[in-house]
Amino acid sequence: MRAASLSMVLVILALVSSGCAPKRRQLNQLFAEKPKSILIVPAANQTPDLEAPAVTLALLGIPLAERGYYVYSPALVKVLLADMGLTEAGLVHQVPPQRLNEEFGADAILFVRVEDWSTKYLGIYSSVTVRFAYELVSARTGELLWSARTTASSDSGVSLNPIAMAISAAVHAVSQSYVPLVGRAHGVALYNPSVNLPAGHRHEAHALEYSAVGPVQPEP
Amino acid sequence: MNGISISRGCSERVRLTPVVFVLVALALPFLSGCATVQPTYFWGSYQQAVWNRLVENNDEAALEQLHETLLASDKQPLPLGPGIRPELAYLLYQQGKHAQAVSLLEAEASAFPESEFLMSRITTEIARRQSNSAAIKGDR
Repeated sequence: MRAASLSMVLVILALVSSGCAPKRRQLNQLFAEKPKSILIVPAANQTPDLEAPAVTLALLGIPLAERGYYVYSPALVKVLLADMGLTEAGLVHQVPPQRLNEEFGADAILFVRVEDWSTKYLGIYSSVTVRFAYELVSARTGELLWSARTTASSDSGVSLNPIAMAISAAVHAVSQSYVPLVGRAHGVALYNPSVNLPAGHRHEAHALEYSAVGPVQPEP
Repeated sequence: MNGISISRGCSERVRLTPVVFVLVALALPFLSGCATVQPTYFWGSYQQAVWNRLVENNDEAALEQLHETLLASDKQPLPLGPGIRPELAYLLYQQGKHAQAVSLLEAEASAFPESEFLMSRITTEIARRQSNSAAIKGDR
């Protein structure tokens, strides 16, 4: 029993101490292409909330740039896409990435899908949830370089009157209570070592995170 | 994160305060559990400006915030973040300030060579539109 519990402790310690070790996923194509510039295109929306894609997009540029990539200003990108006749996120997501490369010179395109953006009421409690799917696609080859799916939710623990909430929604102040959660979901996608996008060429950890050293997962 | 409370007025629209942005930005590095991440760039009011452009459709406020950010960056040890100059360039172009727009685009291309392709494309497009409008005026 003692041996069993000791090995249990060791396993837990190993898990905890490995928290910062880069885990290798299917990132071979990313490592081969080493994209330097990323074009974030307008987010696709699978929710009924009309503001969700804009809020999602607005909060992604700075953390991605701080991750070491060149990030085109998302509001300017939106204007330039509209000039190409791509006024809807759905249209942009269907365009061949190579076409976007011709227009912008970007190495990679980041497609984000808003999968959940909701407030649920459980009695007097309310819980806000956001879920995003991220796909970084090569603008040269069209291949998937990295993907992640993150969820963030908060239980406010505060009694929120659904009627007051509905009125707030009408003056659309509610989307702002989503801001910290969107920030958290983006933060996990970019910084959590088990899922994150390895650091770009302008980041000091770039060489380490793009190196072949580490527990490489066998090819299937 | 639960500590952040945003008051919800029913009559007035709640502004997203810089404080919230700062809290969101500060929270990011701690989520990984890894070493603290120091910012690489100076961002000034860029986050609010992007918010104003994309969510509030308030280009006027965005222009002011981007201007302020550019001016403040002179006194900062960190370099200006990517995307700020082109964003300001676009808004200045909208106001007919083409020379200022072009010089910002050129500055972005020299600070971030990755952006050179797009910056020179936009610069060329501005020059083309200028010569077109000059030609139209000449015809009159």
